[in-house]
Amino acid sequence: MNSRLKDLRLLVALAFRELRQMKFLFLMLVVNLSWGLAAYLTLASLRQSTQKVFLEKAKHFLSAEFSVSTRRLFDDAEKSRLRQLIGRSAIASEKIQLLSMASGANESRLVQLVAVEDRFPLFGQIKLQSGRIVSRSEAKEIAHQFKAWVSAEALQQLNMKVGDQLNLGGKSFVIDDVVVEDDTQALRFIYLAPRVFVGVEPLRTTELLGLGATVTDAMDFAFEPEKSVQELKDLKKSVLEEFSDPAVGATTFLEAGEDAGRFLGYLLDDLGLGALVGLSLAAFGTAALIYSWLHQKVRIYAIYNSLGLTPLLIQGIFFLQLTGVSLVTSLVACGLVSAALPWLAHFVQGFFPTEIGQGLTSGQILKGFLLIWGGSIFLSLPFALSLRKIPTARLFAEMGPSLLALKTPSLFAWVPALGFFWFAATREVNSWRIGSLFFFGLLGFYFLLTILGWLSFRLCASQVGAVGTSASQVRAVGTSAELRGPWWMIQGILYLARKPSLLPTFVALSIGTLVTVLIPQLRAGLHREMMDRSNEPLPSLFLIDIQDEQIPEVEKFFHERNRELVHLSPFIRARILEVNGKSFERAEPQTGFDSRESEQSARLRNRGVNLSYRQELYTSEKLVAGRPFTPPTLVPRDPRDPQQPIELSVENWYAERMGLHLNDLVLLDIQGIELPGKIVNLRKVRWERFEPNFFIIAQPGALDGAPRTWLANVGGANLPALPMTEKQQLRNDLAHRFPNVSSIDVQQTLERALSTVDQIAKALEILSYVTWTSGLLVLTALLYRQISAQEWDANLIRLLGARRRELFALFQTEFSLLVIIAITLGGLGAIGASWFISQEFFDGIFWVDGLSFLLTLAVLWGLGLAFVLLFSLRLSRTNPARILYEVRL
Amino acid sequence: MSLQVQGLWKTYQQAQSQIEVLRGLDLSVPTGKTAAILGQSGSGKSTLLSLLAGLDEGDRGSIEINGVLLNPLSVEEKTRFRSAHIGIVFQQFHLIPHLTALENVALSLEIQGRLPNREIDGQARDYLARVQLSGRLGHYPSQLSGGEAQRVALARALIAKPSLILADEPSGSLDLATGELVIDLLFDLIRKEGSSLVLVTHNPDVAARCDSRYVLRGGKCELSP
Repeated sequence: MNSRLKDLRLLVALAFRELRQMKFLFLMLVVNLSWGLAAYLTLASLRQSTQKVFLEKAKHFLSAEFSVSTRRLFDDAEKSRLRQLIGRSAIASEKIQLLSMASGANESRLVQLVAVEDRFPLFGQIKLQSGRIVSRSEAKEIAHQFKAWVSAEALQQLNMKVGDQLNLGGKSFVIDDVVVEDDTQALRFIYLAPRVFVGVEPLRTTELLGLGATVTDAMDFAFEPEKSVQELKDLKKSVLEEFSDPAVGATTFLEAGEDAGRFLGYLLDDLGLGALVGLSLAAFGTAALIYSWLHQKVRIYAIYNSLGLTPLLIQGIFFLQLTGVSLVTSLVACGLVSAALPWLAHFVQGFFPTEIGQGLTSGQILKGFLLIWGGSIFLSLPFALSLRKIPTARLFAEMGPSLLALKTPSLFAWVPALGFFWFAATREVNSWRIGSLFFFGLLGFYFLLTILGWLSFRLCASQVGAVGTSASQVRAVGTSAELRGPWWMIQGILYLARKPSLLPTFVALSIGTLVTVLIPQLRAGLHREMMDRSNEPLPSLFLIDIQDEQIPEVEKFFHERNRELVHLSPFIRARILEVNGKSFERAEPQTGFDSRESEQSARLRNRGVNLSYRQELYTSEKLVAGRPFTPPTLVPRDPRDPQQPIELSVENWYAERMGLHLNDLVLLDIQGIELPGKIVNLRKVRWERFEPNFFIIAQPGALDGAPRTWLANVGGANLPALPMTEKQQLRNDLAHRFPNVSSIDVQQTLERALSTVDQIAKALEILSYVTWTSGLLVLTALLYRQISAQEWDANLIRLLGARRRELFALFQTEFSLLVIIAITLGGLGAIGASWFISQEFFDGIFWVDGLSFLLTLAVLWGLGLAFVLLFSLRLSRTNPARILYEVRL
Repeated sequence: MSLQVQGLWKTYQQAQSQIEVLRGLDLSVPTGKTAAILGQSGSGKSTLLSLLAGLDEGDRGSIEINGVLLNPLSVEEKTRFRSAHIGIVFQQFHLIPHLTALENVALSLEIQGRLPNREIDGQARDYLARVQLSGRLGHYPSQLSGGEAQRVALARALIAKPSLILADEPSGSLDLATGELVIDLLFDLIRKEGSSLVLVTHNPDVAARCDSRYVLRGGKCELSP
């Protein structure tokens, strides 16, 4: 037989025999790793099935194979050019979408108007209450008549029924049917208003499509035979070349599917980060267990070596065993995931238009196995490398078996494992920035907590009079009058203060606590910021699409009702042509985006920009760089003169994404007129204040004559919020008086947003429990390791005459202090992290929910101490006689 | 000549100072002969054994076993050489705790990889019978007494028919009677196998049974009457 094959057979036999005797450690490893892997695989499965569903349904969401849209109305010449470019044989259908007020006899509500033609939807279908199923082939009455299909939600809000008259933009539409299932709506929970379907033809006769109205006009196309993906991409390229206006965009059905899935993708990315926290905690536990494993096995490896097994083959045994652990872990994790997926699919059902969560694919299982296997190998590499120098000579009596220990791995040996984890984190969230922030944050916390733990333990030691750890500082217990307290307490504290191996346990518990406390705290902060307005009341209504000539009338309308129109802001469509003399090209991905940041940036670039002009900042804005605008009276100049650019203020997040900087020279195109501008300041905006905020604000004066509509608030920071009934009456009256002006109920919108936040937070909370459970498993794993390490000491102490309850008290002191300090510091760390995250991601929203904080900590303390109790009992019951016949490892 | 050591030096670095444990040590043990090494604690006996076993490197000098110089061999080659030519008996037995007595003994041959499993099993049973442990084949080390464990260790060291046995205080952890039994067995087996023996001991009676006796003193082996 080939000698290599013989070696392999021997290794497999030895590896298996060892594993047989390491059942508990094996079980601990499998449980520890499979918990983290299960969370990870669950999210991987959800992510993949989300993408799959959204791609399968992509044509339905777009209701087309290919769509060209603009954020204004296409004119006839443009439509004709488009038809010529696409080809006359394509089936075309126009679709106009806009937000509008819809009024019944008594009630008015904001609705999403979808105006369609005969052939809508080119793909997918709409189910109506009457039993009709609307698809491409049939002619639709609503396309030509003043009839509407109203979503069930809108019907309920308007308190109307089929056959009633619905007023839209000054025209009356009969409610013809109710939409019960809409295949063309991708995400059920992200919308400002429920849908109402009408015809394009009747819509054009209303007052809703006035100059500057906020509409999206889309020309949808279907091809027979269907075009290939490449043909569609080529077509898109031709359309974009033909229409240079950045307000014109083209979308293939595949992009529509990806777009629809993107939000959920982000959510799942972030959940993935949470899963990584769980996995990283599992990694802590695994590293500790592997260390314990090798520590226990070093004598056996030395014996193998003395019998002629080379270090390389001994490493082989170890890696074979890790492979076995990884295989079993993957199988257990797959079992857990298969059990969890149906439940999770039910949980996320509210987000999705269709069934989701179909189970794990073989690719995902393989990926999970490779992750655990690769991760374990990377994690154990520092220890495994030390197997190259097995201290076999120590087996000889004079060397002393107590010195049988592997060399402590150097810090550099951890670099591959850290690199692996960093890479995994950035890939998991598809963002180098967030992934790196997460990784280095965790690493920073690790070092910080290690130092804090060490200091805390030293502080405890100083309380009983024992301070140092060096030989010169150590004072023998019982021989110094300075040591205070019973001997078992002093010994327990000395263990804590002088055993550096306890620090990883401490850190793992702290980080587990940090994650568990952090998420509810962030959620509480968001709730408070968005809903609790005792000091800063929100505006009651947000008005859009007010025409220039309507302003005096609208102001008068509110004045007559003892209400004021505030934050009246012009709304101007523009695009950026050049920045510092360089063309501001639209970025079209050729091979997909490589990160979340580049994707967001490209999408913002492609969108054009809405801007406004005013002199002062609103209360929701804060200058973060540069200077305020120059007072208008001091600048008598020609705004089109490139030597005298208008002053611009840019929102800082937008500037960051677009690569815009202070003092950049920007050439704007405002509906055909080029205007040079200069960025004189950057602003931070609190968007959740619902004031008319813009990415770009220009200095007043230069844009006075530009085509515009107006936005405004009703009520504001200094006015009491309108009661619900009064607000509704006001909206009804406004809709009747100004049919083209839409009003958004700010409170209602916030509540809707919060319910989404709640659902996301719920998902994150579930994950935090998973994470903390991982923390507990780590605690168990690490306590197990400590027990192995301290069993000899426990026996010795018992032999020296300690009673069992004293031994129990000793370990209770040691581990209870560890758990209490770790959890407390983790909790405080969560408050710190919550503050940091609020500054970094949530515009400074920071608030501590004291009660929930204390309750969570109390639960964690309780659980942690219960574990300690169990393990102390186990340690105190050890048999001291074993010391007589066992060799210390 | 089974073992020939010439001018062996070994120095350890401890804190700021160097400790010269072996200082030009010479030793030779002819094939089939036995040699006892005596010496005070810390005189370098275990260091000498670890060098002879190829577990450590000397600073100078040469070690030749069965005509093969150990010095130029790599760690891998030394390990293979040890498997084929050297058997070691430790004071603390050092059996593998998760293997039965039979499996412990068979392990040496399994690692050598020369014989089929069936034959290995037969030989392991035979060697355990020779050390009078036929009734303890399936027992784990924790179920054996000290004397039984050391006999298993003897069988394990000898089963691969090594030309050189290194024994480190083989009766040091045993009571007098058990120790004598183990030493009797050791000498009996060595005689039958024709192996050479280097035996480290503090016990003059045990040393007296060897063909030659050396005292390790000042880093050198001095022949003792």
